Parts: sequence; C-alpha cells; structure tokens
Amino acid sequence: MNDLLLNIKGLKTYFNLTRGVLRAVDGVDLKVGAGEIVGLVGESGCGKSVLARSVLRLLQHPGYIAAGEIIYEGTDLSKLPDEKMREHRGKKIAMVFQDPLGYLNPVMKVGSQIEEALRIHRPNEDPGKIIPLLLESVGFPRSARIWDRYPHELSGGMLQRVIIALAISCDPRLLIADEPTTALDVTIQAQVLRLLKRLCKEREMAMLLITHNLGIVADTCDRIYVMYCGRIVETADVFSLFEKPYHPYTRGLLEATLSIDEFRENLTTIEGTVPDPINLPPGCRFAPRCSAARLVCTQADPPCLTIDALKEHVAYCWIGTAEYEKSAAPLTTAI
Amino acid sequence: MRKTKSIPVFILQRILQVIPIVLGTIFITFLLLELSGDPITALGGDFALPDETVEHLTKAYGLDKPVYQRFFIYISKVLRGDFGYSYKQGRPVMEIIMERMPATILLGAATYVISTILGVAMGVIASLKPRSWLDNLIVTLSVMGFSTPAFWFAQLSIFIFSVLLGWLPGFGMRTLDLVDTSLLAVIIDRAKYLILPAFVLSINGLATLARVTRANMLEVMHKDFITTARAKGCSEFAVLIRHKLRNIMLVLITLIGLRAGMLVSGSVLIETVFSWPGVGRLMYNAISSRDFPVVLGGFLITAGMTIFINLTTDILYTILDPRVRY
Amino acid sequence: MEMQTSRQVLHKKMEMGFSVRLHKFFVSAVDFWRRYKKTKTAVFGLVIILIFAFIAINASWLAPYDPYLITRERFAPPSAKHWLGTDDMGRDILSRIIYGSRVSLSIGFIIAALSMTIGIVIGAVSGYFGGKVDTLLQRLVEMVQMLPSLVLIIVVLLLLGGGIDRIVIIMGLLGWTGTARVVRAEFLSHREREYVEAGKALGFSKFHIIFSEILPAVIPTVLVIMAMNISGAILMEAGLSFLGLGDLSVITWGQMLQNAQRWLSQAWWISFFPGLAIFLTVLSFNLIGDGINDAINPYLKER
Repeated sequence: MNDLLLNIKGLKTYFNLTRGVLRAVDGVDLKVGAGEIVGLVGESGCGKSVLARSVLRLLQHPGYIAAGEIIYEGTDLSKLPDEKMREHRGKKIAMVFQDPLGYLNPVMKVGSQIEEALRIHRPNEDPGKIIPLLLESVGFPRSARIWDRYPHELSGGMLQRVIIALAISCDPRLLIADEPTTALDVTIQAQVLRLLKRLCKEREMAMLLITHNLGIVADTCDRIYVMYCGRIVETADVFSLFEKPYHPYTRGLLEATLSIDEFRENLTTIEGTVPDPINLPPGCRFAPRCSAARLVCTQADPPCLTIDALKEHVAYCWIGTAEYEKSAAPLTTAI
Repeated sequence: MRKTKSIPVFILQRILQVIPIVLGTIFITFLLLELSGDPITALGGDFALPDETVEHLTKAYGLDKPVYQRFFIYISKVLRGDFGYSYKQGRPVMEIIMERMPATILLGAATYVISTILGVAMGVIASLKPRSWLDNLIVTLSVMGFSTPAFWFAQLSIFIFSVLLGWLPGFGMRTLDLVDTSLLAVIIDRAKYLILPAFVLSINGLATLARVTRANMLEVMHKDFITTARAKGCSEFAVLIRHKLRNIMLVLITLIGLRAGMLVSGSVLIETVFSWPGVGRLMYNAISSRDFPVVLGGFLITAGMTIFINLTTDILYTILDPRVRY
Repeated sequence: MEMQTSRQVLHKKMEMGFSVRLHKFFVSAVDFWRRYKKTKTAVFGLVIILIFAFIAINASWLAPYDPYLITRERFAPPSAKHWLGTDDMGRDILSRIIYGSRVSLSIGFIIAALSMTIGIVIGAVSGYFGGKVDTLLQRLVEMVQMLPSLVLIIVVLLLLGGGIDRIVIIMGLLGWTGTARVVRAEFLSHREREYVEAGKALGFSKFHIIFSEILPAVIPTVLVIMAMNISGAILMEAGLSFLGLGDLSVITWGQMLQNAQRWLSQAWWISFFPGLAIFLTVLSFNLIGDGINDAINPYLKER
C-alpha cells in the first residue's frame, strides 16, 4: 500500500435505542490506499453499511459516532464541522447504494439530479456539457438522452449506472459502493462490477466495495476485510485470504460461496443465529456459532494474530494460541 | 423503457374525465328541481294562477315536453350560464351571483393562502424534531383545529377581537364612510375586514394540512434518496426544499384540491357569521327566503368551482409527478 | 384421496368453531386495549365520550331545569343558580346542552352507521372485484367527493323539506366516500393474501369471502374511519342547524349556536358553552380515532 487515502482507527458507531445501546460498529480499523479497491465482506446486519455511512457521516438519528478517527488525506472527518463535511461529500468521497430506484428522487429528472451535485462542487463549469460525457462514460450512448428521463422510466441496471455517473460526477478520489449489485439481475451484476472496476482504473479512484458476496470480491478487489457483529475478524490480500483463510467465520463464508458457485443445489450456510447486537456475548462474537470454539473464546476478546506480515494478513482469533490449546473442552452448548 | 406521456395529452384526458362529473352534478340539480314540485305553482306564491296563465307558462317553460327533453334543455341552459330568475329580486340568478363573486373569491383566496402557508410551515417545523415539545404542541393544536366548529370559532373570535378588544371589525367587508380614499388606506381597510373571516375559515384546512404535512415529512425523511442527496453534499436546506418538500408537494396538492369542497361549504357558514357579502351569505339569505333558483344556482356555481379547482390540482399533479403519466 | 383430506382440514380451519372465534376475538380485544391505553389523549377522548353518553341517557334527571321553560331571567350570566347562564328567553343553558347531547350524539352515530354501511359495501365490491366495476365506482366516489356536500344538503333540505330523518338520510347518502376509499384500499391489499386464495379454492361464495373472511380483518381500520365519520357528522349537523335547516322540534347544539349569533356582543355564554360541547365531542372522537390508529399501527408511533 503506497499512499494512504482513508485510515479508520478504532471507529465505534452506536445507536441509542429504547432497548439499549446497539453497537453496530465496535472498534474497527480499516485502511484504503489511493487507487486501491478494498472489499468489506460480512453477512447482512454485521455493521458494514453503518461503517460506510459513518465515513460520510450520513447516519440518521439515533446513530452517532461514539469514538475513533476517520482520517481522510490527513483530516479527521469525524471531528469536522458540518459545513466542511459537506465539501467532502460527493466531491472527495462519493457513494453508490444498494437499491438504485429508491436512491434516486422519483420526481426529478436524472439529469437534474446529477446537475445538483455539479452545481455544488463544480460551480464554474457548464453542467450541460459534463452530464452527457458522464453518462457516456457509464455506457449510455448520447443519443439515448438519458438525462431527460425520470427514474421510473429506467431499469434497475440503468439506474445503477446513473447513480454511478452521479457518484463520479465531481471526480472523487474514493468511492464507497454499498452492495452495488445486490438488487440487480445476475447478468447485470457482472456488467456493473466491470464498469466500477474500469472507472477506478481510468480515474485513479479508490473504492471501498461492501458486499455479502465473497465471489464478487474475488474478481474485483485487491484487499479484503471480513466483518462480523461490528468488528473486523480477518483482513488480508485477496489471494492470501482465499488461499489460507484463518478465521472460522471466513472459512464458513468461503464454503458458502464455493458451494453456491460449484454445486448450486447444495447450499451451505453457516449454522446458528447472529447474536442480539444489543446484548453481545463476551469474548469472540462468533464463538456461539463456531464449531471450533473453546471456553477461552467465550471469556476474552480474541488476540490479533499476524498470519502473513508481507501480505498484511491478520486475523482476530484464539485458535492456535497457547491459551486456546490449554483451554477446556470445546463448548457444545452453543448451537 | 417506459415513456412518459406528454403533458398536453394528459391534460386533455383529465378534462374529458371531468365531463361526466359535470353532467352528473347538473343531473342531480335537475332531479332535485323535478322533485321539488311544480315551479309554476311556486311562481304564483300564495295566489292560485288562472288556468290560461298556467297553460301559457307551461308552454313557455317547456314543461309540456317529455322529461329527457327537458333535461337536455336544462343542461344547455346551465352550460350557457342561464340559471333562471330569482323569485325575490326578479333578476337573473347569474347576475346576482356574479355580483357577489369577487367577495367570495377574495375570501377563498386569502383562506387558501393562509391555510397552505401556515399549515405546511407548521407541519414542517413539527417534523424537524419529532416528539419534541414543539412537535407535541403543533400536533395538539392541529387535532384541536380540525375539531373546532368553524362557525363557533367565528363567534368566539368576533367576541374577543371585535367586541372585547375592538381591534378588528366583526361584520361586513369594508368601512362604508371611509374618509381617506387613497389606495393604501382602502387596502388596509379591506385587510382589516378580511383578517378574521379568512383566518377562521382557514383553521380547519390549516390543521389538516399541518397534520398531513408532518406525517408525510416523517415518512419521506427515511427515504433513501434523501441519503443520496446528503451524500452529494447538499445542504440541509436544499435537502428540505428540493427533495423532501418537492416529494410531499404531490400529496399536499391533492389534499388542497379535496379541501375545495369543504372550503365552499365552510364559507356559507363563515360568510353568514361575518356578514361577508359573498355567495355564501347570498345563499344563506336565499335559504331563509326560500328563493330556490338562487340556492340552486349557488350550488351549481360552487360545485363548478370545486370541480375546477380539483381539475387544476389534478393537472398540476401530473406536471409535478411524472409517475402518474404513463 | 389425500387431496380430499387436506381440503377437509383446511375447511375445518376456515370454518372455525364459534367458541374458538369468540376466544380469539377476546384475546385480540384485550391485546388491542393494552396498546390503545398507551395513548393518554385517546383514553381522555374515550372518557369524555362516555361522560357525554351517560349525560345523554340520563338527561331527564340530570338537567337542573326544564330546557324549554321560558323565564324572566333573560341573559343571566353563569352563576350558582344557572351554572352556564341563561339565553335570550331565560332558558337554562346547561339543561339545554344536556338535552341537546341526545340529538347530537345519536345523530352522529346513526349517520356514521348509515354512511359506513354504504361505504363498506361500495369499497368492498370495488376493491374485491377491481376492473370495470372498480373504475365505475371510483368515478362515482370522485363525483360525490367533489360536490360541496353542505351546500348540496342545504339544497336538498330546502327542496324536500327538513326534519331530522331527512337530515340523517341525506348525510348518510353523501358521507360514505372516505370509507369507501379506505375499505377499497384495504380490500385491494387483502384480496391477494393466502387466506383469501384458500377460501376461493374451497369454493366459498364471493359474498362469504367478502363479508366473513376479509371484512373482519379490516375492522380496525374501519373503526378509525368510524370515529372520524361520527365527528364529521356531528360537525355537519351543527352547521345545518346553525343555518336554520335543522329540526326545530328538538334541541341541538347547532341550533343553540344559531340562536346565540344575534346576542354575540352582549352574552358570550350563550355561544360559548354549546360550542364547547360540540368541540369537546368532536375532539374526543378524533382522539379516539388517532388512538385506534396508533394501536393498530404501533410502528408508526415509534418513529
């Protein structure tokens, strides 16, 4: 990793609910280098979307950043005043979302929605010239006059490309893509991914790709973070992770992905249920679902193990430590 | 790819859809007229008219023709603005109504402006901080607002502001012996008379609008495209105006259209309480003196106005919301 | 054969025994009340309505004076003798309000019942069958909704003559559009659900599906509109009486207000108290409606 673009340190994002405090993101470290494509993987509800929104401070009440730093090119975004924060949104960091129809204003023409962003961040340029170029760069021929359309007139794949055009309209250096292909047809998914990858290369733009699908990550990303219950459990270079997954959760995810790809009928999922995010168990949060869990796993937070220093492969797990070997018989009560 | 219909085509369609409603309304009045008994006997009042006169009038009014023919004649008359003659004043009903129209339009327009601006503003303010004391206050005020009988509220406000405090006039539309007749003085004079009735007439609509605005704002707040707008770098003000309000505008326009009927009904009551010289007051007087042609004409005119307002809001709606046009 | 048996099972389930249905009804009613009473304003509304209902039923021994009795004590302000004062003919206002509650409340209920019956039938048919029937009925709804109802009622009353029975019938005939719209929307969402499909597969008649299967499921929503309709009817009746189109043979709050109009500048209490009674009643019904709404859609309140 050469030039560090985004450096998240010990980020905690909480939601104060009537039932208690929901710790959606609970001490996450994450780095994105310039021009790098980083994957963030986890099951739905693990806090990856909240993490993405925390970066741009798009959290809605009652969510808030409780602790940590979000350093983007040397500035800590988490402490920036709102006014300054707005200058970053769309201009330096842009976002692409999951459900393309819902994320566009239904009563505004597509072109005006892109124009709105241009007027904020590139006030001296003529939007009428930029918009057709932008739409062309995401694969719409100029003759289609997409800017004159309303969202409901376009298909899901087209809308997602419009959102991507909107996101890149002000030349951001970092694109956060939150499940950009989940709502699309399988055939369209590949197109959109290829488009995102191409745009990153052409524009020297970094991307944080958030998904629950390891298959997508394998094709696209340079590095991967695996997240579970608000924490990172493993991170590595994409090859290292697929070759030698260390954390039982990563292995479970990989198995699930492989079985989907190769034997479609025989779908493996990780057994057990995700713990209640308001009453998280002590120790490793995956322990209740982990077949290799021992007593120590349920007692203390797992240590940070360096699997491969060169490939920055790190896992948070008790397995392989002296404490784990000494610990009592595996726990069987969990599942 | 679905293509949105062009706006003129849509407007034409809407206008065509209104035609059966207009005819239906005329049919209702015709039916009522037929049911109300023999108009010639009514013309005579307490006197029994001589037979020749009855025969002559029956021919003159076309009452000897079959019902369906009379209905068509009636439609063509109504559409030409011929509502017959007032029993009391002996003048064409249309003429009498048109004299009163400006006053009613003035009051109605003022009411629309007050209820829309205040109602939407209150709803927006309430929605900014849900469950805060200000929100609770506005919610409470709005449920009280549409539970208040407007004519009672009118009486109370006359008593308080006119009788007790003497700040505003409680009856009429203008000072008859105004000394200073400069334009400004006349406008101020009119405004003084307008404030109470317009405010009273608007409270029901204002309360409804505040409530609906608040509910819709709370809903639109959680829509995903609001997040997109913020992610673009829009200021909160821009998000409010261009994204939130722009979207709930459609609901509000429908509501404003639907309120037209209630506004017309309300103005009959309010104009009566404030002695406002409009169509409502005219109708009240016509009711008291059983002047049927005027009452029926008033009904047709107010129904026509309501249909027109509804049509206008419908067209506005289609211009603002592309989704309804395909 | 196997098909047959599973059908029979389903049939049994659909035609649950009366006692089971009754039990389910009580369970859901208790549950409903638990959620309803969370809204304090709604409980307030219910209490006020119960008080008014009690007053209306027991008017004859609650009223301190004969409401029709004309005395020399004209325009007496509120005092220990006449709690709410007397009117221009020296009649006791409190007693008149107490008697007036009978007409105002019962008129509200009867009109609401009438208009809701029409609204439910039209809404159910429109929503269940859809297609051309729906389009036609929606046009009708639109038309009736666009009419300035108060003015139309005035016209009808003038031409056909007043009287409490006519007022009730006409208002019932004009006030059903809101109900029809809501019931239609509910039916549209219900007609595709599994239990309706199951009913169709079992060959239940359309009438049975509409009224015995779907309608009970939309009752909570219907209750909300009912509360709103009652309050609307009370307001409308008051407006008509105020215009002098009410039934002069009975005392109503609207008529008391009409009478007060002339004495506004000298005796505020003639106008204030009857209006307050209307306001409280209407407000209470609206609060009840809101309470029911919150109880059946608890998540809306959470936000």
